[in-house]
Amino acid sequence: MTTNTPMEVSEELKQLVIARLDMIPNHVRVSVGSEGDFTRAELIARVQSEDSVGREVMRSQLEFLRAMSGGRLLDEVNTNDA
Amino acid sequence: MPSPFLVTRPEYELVTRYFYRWAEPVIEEATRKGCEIIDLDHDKANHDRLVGTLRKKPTKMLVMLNGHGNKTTIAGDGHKAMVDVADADCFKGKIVYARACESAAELGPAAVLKGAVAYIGYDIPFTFLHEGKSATPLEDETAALFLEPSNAVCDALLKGHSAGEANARSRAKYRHNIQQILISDAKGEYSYALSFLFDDMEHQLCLGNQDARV
Repeated sequence: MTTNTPMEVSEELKQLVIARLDMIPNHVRVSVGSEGDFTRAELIARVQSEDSVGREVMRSQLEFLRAMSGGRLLDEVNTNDA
Repeated sequence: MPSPFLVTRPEYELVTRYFYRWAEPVIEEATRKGCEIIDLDHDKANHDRLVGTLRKKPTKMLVMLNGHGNKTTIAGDGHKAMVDVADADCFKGKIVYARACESAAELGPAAVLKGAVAYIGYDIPFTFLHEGKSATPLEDETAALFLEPSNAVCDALLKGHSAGEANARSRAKYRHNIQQILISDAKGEYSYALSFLFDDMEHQLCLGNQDARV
């Protein structure tokens, strides 16, 4: 259900992802596919351990960071669907 | 004469409970439109009922699949496999929306190859955030950020939009929520949800005939 592709991510990027995940409030749960529901702390632990859930979360977070840095997110914000 | 609307809604743990309840507004819309409703809920969400019903009804219909999944399979009640690539022919002539993980990676393309008119789904694990409101999922404003755009696929199809338009309208709702979080004081508290919304939006695909309508 989650990615099994080995991902080489620098420790710096991993810490950036963890910092982003750290914003999730205590009362919120993240449902990751069929892998289950995770609290902020549980998700961070998975990222640190780089298991399948951790790698999937890293993938999505890194795609988002690339979208932000590449201007893709700004394009989305400026898109008018009216 | 409106096309029939078939929905699968297992409910055996928290995520499927959310999907079960969040499918209700779509069922209500289909009812308002005068569609025949085939509601495969709870233990009716199983392989024999789904595949058997679809194969017996070769007519065009809208199919909404709610549940867990992977690239090849969507699960029904009790997390048992309900439909997989070997059954892909059952979607012949149908427009399908799969609120499930990853099925657009392999099951969706197989369905289109076997004659599904269109298949809208995700090629990644469908991720959403929620507040664990197991008794009142429809009151969960965090989950609504994800599940309202998800529901918009079938809402648009029921209103007569094409598969491509329905996908675009759904993605527009994700985009609207992202915009609101970024620029609005009211939604700014949901900034932690941005990356997850973006991911679901980017990986929601419409396969097959973009111009197909139910």
